[in-house]
Amino acid sequence: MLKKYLEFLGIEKDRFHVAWLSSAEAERFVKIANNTIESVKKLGPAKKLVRKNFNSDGKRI
Amino acid sequence: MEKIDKKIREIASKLLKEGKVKLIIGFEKGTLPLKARPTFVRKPEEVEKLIWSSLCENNLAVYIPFYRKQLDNAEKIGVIAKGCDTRSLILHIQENIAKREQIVIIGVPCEGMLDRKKIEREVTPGIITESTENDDSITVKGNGFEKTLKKKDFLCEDCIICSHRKPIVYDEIVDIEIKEPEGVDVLNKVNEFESKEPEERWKAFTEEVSRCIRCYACRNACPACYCNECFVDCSRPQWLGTTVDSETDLQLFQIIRTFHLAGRCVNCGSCSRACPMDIDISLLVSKLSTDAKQYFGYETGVDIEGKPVLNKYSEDDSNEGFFEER
Amino acid sequence: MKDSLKNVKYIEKDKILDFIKVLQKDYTVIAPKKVKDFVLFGELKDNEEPYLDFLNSRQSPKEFYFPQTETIVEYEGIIDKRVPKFSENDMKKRIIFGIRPCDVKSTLILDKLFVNEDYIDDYYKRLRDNTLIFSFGCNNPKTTCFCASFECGPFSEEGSDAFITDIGDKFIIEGITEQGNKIIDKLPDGDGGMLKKKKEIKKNSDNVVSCIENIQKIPEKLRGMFENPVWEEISERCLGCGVCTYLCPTCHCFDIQDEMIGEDGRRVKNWDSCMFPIFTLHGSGHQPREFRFQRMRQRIMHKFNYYEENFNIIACSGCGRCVTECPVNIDVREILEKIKKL
Repeated sequence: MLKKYLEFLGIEKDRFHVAWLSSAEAERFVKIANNTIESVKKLGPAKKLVRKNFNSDGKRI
Repeated sequence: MEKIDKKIREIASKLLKEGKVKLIIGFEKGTLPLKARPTFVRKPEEVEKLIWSSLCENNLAVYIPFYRKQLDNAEKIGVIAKGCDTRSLILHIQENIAKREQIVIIGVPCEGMLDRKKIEREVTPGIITESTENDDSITVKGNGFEKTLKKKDFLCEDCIICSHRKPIVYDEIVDIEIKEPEGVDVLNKVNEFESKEPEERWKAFTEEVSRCIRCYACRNACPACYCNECFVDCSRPQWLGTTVDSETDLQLFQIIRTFHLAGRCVNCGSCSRACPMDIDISLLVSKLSTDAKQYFGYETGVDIEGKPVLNKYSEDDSNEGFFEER
Repeated sequence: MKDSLKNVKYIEKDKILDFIKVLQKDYTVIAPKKVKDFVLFGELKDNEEPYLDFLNSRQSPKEFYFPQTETIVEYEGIIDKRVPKFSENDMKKRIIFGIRPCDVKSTLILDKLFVNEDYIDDYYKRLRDNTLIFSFGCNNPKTTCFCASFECGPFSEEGSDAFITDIGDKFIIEGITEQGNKIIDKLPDGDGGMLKKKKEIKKNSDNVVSCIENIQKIPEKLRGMFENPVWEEISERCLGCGVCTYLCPTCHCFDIQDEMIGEDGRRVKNWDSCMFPIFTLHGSGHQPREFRFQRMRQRIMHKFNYYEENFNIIACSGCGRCVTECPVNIDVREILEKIKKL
């Protein structure tokens, strides 16, 4: 539901991943991790929901 | 309406006299036109102040967690409850805030509550000084005007799409006939928003929550928000920044709070009504409720025997959204 | 008669944008703007017209001298990167245009706390000193307005640099202070007829607006009421949100927090509310105001007793925002009447 919810709000679909796996599924874990990295890399740096630094007036940008 | 008032008073007076409850939470006339407000009755002679109208918008279940001490002492509390209030009470019972036998539910079927702001907008620039209610209309009077409005055109947004107007469970009931609305398009608002492009949705969402002033009225008006310590108030660790000049913190507050209501929200609309900045929080929580229904066939607080949807697991649960082998 | 007219100017309603543009040459103009179905104060952008067909703004404009979030210092590691030093000309002067008399009154109330003999809050003073007030008389006071109770009223000019009145097709603008007069100098002169119209409107508003009689007796009355059971009765329906305090033009409690990103950080002042339990929660876990009635008592006592004891003025201007926006209709007027009767 969280994944659907974030999508609903306009967060990129591939930014957030959920998977079911057990500690015995090492190969699957690698596959999922690689897959996640790949899809997030494709999107580039996140621009949404990132806490930004302050600007010179001490205000958040 | 007077018939309902009378019946409510009768029931309340009986419960108090017989010692079945120590406290009854209901509604009384407010100090503003178009406003009824929660009230607390402890003595039979006080029942005269109890009323019922189309302005009883608050979800009274919100008060139950305030009385945890009394509930721990096995005291009983009476609540005058519409459909949505009973659903929230069921949630409280499922989540062990109270035992079923401790909450004496005085059910009142509801025909939808009126949105004060909609009516005020309709008569602008007139200023309303008094109102009288009839079966399906409401007459408002003010500085040099008088207008009779059809109730069904001025319902609260969430009441328009409500599909559980009759109390789900009750110990006493005010027996009036109402029709559950037919052909209610619950999904309409959610679908409409969903049909927009992601960037458009993000823009709409961020614009809306940028007005947030962090008064936490949404949280406090919500019957399902009763944590002893809310995540926004935690300081060790501090989950969330406290400023209003950080848009991200405002967005995160709204996302996290609403997500905590996934499968727990009854769509009573209290959050949106309480918001002084008119943020459309209802839209956010509607998405969560419609998803709970779509993926798990679950509606909050309609089955007292049931468990909250995210508290149970079944092998048949939807895998929608999970990682799929490619 | 002629003398008094020297300071009376007028402007046609459809020329208001031209006047704003003139003001914007030297000033930042803060004015009412329509947001969804309500009104908030905000800075006018180029060519943006103020929205003057309003009763009052949903939120009070106090945020323009007492911002909800304000950085007081920034640092890098243990080195101060920016400790603000305020000089006279470090910010563009501002005009708050169209502020209602109750909110002006509230500003005067806040002045006593932030700028007094014992203590001057430089942050507040800087914003306040650089702000001119063009207040706007209320032709249609709301039913929840009770400003007349507090030596204020729908046409009170106290604290304004200039005073605007809507007389139908025109606004008349009266200069009150020297600075105000200088700014409106170029506008066409008004006449006696306009003033007469204003008088009629004022009379009508003064009749409409409500007044809590003998409010000056409340502070004394409250003195012995700390232990009174009435607080529990008043606060039982309170949900404990911050609507009343955050919309209030005179509530001024704040919290100071440090925000860090890596080694860098800033110290910020945020509004806080006595209606929140965390407001008084000690580091030890001790909670001196555990119950809602204690918090409600604090709010009422602070406004109507403690503040009066400290500064000789009640910290309420009767704007009615807490009354209209409270989700459960807790009505401060009703509370005051109740206290009077006890």
